[in-house]
Amino acid sequence: MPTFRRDSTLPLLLLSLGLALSTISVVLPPVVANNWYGTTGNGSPSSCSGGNRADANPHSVYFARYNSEIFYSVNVAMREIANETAVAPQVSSSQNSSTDIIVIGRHYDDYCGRDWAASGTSGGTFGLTTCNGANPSGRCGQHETRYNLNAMDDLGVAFDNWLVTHEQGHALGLKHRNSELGAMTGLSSGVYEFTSHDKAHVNGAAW
Amino acid sequence: MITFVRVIAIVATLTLAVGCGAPDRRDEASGGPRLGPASEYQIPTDVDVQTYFGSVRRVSEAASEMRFSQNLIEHLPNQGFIINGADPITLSSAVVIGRVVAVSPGSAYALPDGRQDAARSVPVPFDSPDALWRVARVEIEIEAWFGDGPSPATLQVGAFVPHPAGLDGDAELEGLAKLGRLIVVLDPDRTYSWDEDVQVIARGGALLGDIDSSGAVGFPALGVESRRFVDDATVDDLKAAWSMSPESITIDVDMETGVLERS
Repeated sequence: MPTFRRDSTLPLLLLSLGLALSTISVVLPPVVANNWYGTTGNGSPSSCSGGNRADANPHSVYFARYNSEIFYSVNVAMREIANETAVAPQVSSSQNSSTDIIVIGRHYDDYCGRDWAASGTSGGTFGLTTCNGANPSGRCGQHETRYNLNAMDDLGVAFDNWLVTHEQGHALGLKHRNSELGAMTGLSSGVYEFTSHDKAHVNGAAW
Repeated sequence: MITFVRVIAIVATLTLAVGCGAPDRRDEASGGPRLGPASEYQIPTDVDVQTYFGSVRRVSEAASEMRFSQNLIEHLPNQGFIINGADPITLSSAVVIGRVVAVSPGSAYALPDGRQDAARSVPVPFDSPDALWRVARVEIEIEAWFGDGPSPATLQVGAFVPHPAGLDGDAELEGLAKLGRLIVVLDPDRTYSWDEDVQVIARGGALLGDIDSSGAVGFPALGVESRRFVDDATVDDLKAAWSMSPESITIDVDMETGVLERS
């Protein structure tokens, strides 16, 4: 059995350790400081409210309105999340208060005041993720992910996969990050994998 | 991947994209404010102003988009863009610097029967608790006008007011009224059916920028993108670019990936 004794050097050691850790935190900013929403408290039913981290794992996904392109790409995104992060997405056959993500694909026109793209080359908004409501802890209990079929009809599978993984990333709690090619770039990168940085955020979050 | 890297690299670089030898098309107030640089911009400390910009920013941050411009200068309406060989388009009808003189209710929107999967909204009374987002009518006294035709003395624009359902958006309207000097980029195509005299602000309302007390400009609704977007442009830069006839910027959209490449 180990024994402990009071040591006058211990406070100094702890102080040194604290200083060292604080130095490390300055030199190496916590990953959360970059493209992770964290707990924001944002969310209200069918609102235009902004980002918030997801509250639950496993992560249930309900297809409210979709076509074959969206269905395929959501499955690609779910596989990426399942294989590369600590979050376990699963399809839900019904929508209820415990549903985490609602998938909606439409030929959008004006939802949430956005300038929705009229085609794959018109410029404008391709997708949007909003939070339906925050739970008492301030995390988002349910996200709505919207996909603009005006663009998806025109552009290819690589774009669809990027777009859907991008919005699913928002629904986990990720923000845009342009310094590296991946699913969370602000414009399409054609790459639908999360970067190691993105995955560190997701896997570092308490679930 | 390489093409995207190229786009990102270009995005980080100021591109005035000006041509040469063009007549002066500018018709703006004489003098005019100093604008920029963005690196000096300070967002106002007023809580209502921050509430307004925060509300718009949160929606913009959660959207995925296709954007052709790299900075504010490229939004001047003399800058054409050729997308996949089509006829040139512009990204604004005018860029306007002015001062807020009045803010009043405009319109409000909800989803029909509350259906979350609706593609199109329906108008509701401005004070309706069902409104999911609103548009405030903002009257601007114009200081500088970068657009075709003579500068009007005043202009009405619609400012996007997103907020959780059930809230009235009063804080956002208060924030708009306190803005003072501002800069707006007007959408080249969209109109409001409830009043076509009210101009639509580009990028879903995110291109309503603020001019701080030092004259520096920022677009807080763009979040971290604001500084790159302004790119230390000044009024003189806008004037210089507006006096030119720049060649159209050619952009190819990869129809498989949606990746943009400039050529």
